[in-house]
Amino acid sequence: MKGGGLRQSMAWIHTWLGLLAGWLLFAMFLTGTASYFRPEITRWMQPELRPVAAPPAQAAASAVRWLQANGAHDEQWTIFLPDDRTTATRIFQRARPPADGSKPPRKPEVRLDPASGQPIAARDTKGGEHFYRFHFQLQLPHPWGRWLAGLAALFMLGAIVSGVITHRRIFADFFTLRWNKGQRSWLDAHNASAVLALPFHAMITYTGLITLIVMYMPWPIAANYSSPSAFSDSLSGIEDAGKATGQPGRLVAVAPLVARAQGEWGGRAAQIVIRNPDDSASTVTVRRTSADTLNARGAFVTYGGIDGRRIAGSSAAGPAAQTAGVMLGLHLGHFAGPALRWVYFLLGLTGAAMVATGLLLWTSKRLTIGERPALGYRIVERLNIGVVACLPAGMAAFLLANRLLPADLAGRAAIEVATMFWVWFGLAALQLARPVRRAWIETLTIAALAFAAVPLVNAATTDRGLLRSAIDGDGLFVAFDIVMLSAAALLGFAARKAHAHVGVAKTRAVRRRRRGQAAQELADAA
Amino acid sequence: MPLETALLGYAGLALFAAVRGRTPHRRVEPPFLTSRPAMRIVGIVLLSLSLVTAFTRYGPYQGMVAWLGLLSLSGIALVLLLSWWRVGAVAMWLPAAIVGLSLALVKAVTAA
Repeated sequence: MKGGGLRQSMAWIHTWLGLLAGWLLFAMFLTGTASYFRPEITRWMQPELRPVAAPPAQAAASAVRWLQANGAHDEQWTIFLPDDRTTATRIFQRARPPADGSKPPRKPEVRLDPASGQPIAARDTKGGEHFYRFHFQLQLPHPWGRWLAGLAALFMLGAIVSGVITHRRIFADFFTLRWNKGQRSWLDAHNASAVLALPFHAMITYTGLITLIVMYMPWPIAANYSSPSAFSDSLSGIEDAGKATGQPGRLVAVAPLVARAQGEWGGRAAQIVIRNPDDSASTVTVRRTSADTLNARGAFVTYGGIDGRRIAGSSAAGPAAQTAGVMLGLHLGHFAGPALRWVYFLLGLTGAAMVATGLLLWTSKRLTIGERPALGYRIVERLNIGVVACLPAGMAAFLLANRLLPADLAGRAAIEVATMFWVWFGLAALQLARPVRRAWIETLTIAALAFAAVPLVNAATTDRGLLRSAIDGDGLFVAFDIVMLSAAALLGFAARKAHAHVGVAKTRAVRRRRRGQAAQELADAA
Repeated sequence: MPLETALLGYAGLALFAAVRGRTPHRRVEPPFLTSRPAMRIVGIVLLSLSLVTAFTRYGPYQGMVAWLGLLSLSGIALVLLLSWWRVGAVAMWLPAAIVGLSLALVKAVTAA
């Protein structure tokens, strides 16, 4: 690199940032992409549920009834109201801290049927939440996963900027993709997937980094707020909630408050936060949905919990809060309707393809025929297989486990998650025993078969198979099966290509040997 | 479905792909358009129309996000098709433009 120009320096940065974070980024891209259908995956993973949609006010009333019977003395209730994608009411309770000041035990999330207000009776599963959490927490203890994800995002941002500078013929190569040409093909595929979707890659990386920026750079908040929670309360609109007085109070009916808030905005309510529900100083904060705006932080109104009077409402947010909300919204894509959600999904897959082709380009570029590769090269080669081919197999195994584990098995949600990692890492370990080329073919084939098995196992274990769902007009289950079959086809195609590549490599080796023998014979004859 | 935005985007990008061929044997002539300036102008018009349809459907803020996303996907579809069937991928500019424009017109008439 010494004495090299700017492009060379950038190429060096691009190569090494991309390689070091590549495996993590591939996993983040793939699980993040799946997370665009987080509620839909959860619904697929609880096939016995066919909840009837209920209006927000009704769901709020039924949730409060349940909470008053099962946590009347809690400090705070957070209720996520159902919408047309999430058909269950999700409840989070925060118990009041004991008198000795110790931390109260954390209560698990409860999901209620919005119409009846009863806990839903369905198999226990993390559902789409698992992919979503893994995407930025990487299954590591807090805060290490988030820090690692942030570091990977930072590397990705550096790789994007340096990649654009490096790419001399960025517009000339816009439409070039040549198959079966070894390194040239990987470069073309990497360029095409990166450049054509560059706005998405840049946006998703930058906004991803910004989403957790308060954690990575806490100093402005430390300088301006008494505590981080004071900042988040200020953002979420519950800062006006007073402290509990200790005097008992009776909570007003929440449904009319939801209706009033919706009337004020002309939009649907998405969340309710009730503080000190049995105290005379109780408050009810109703938050608007962000499903129809780019800003992911919806407006809110806070009411007195005893008299229902309006205490506070979100004033026009400042430019910084709005910018942060829009960035978060762009990243999460909650604003996107079905069509745009699919656009996000396909672009996310393109991002995963960009990272994978970049990783494969690294090995393809350094491949030396006839020499034993260096240890570093062999490690990269194996890690590529372990992540690019084995992670999809693990994701399919997670879905298969959901259908194959008994519905009433204790701790099944955790077992489903464990299955994904056992299959992913187990397969990644097993492939070490196979030659590299065979390992690619075999792991990709296993992943393809695992995805192809999902619709079959679904049809065998539930009454919501592809045919039945098509007859019933159940778009979600039909679409899910089609996506599984498409993933199987894509992975099968990759396995076939890898197989063909082995054939080509063998033919070339035979030709080389023959040429060598012929030359030897000629030399002997001479 | 915002198909009109994607199809008009595809048609515009296909014409730019046709313009791009530097050597005569790499060049593919799209039907009805032989001169390169004409391809460029029609390409720009089609991409602009694609932008307008995205803004019309999604409004000023989400419109830009939708246009960039759909144009990226159209570009990826075009590149995949070009790598497999070069002549057909470029020739498809015309049906894509016709269907895209028809859908846009239907949407405009229904909205009015």
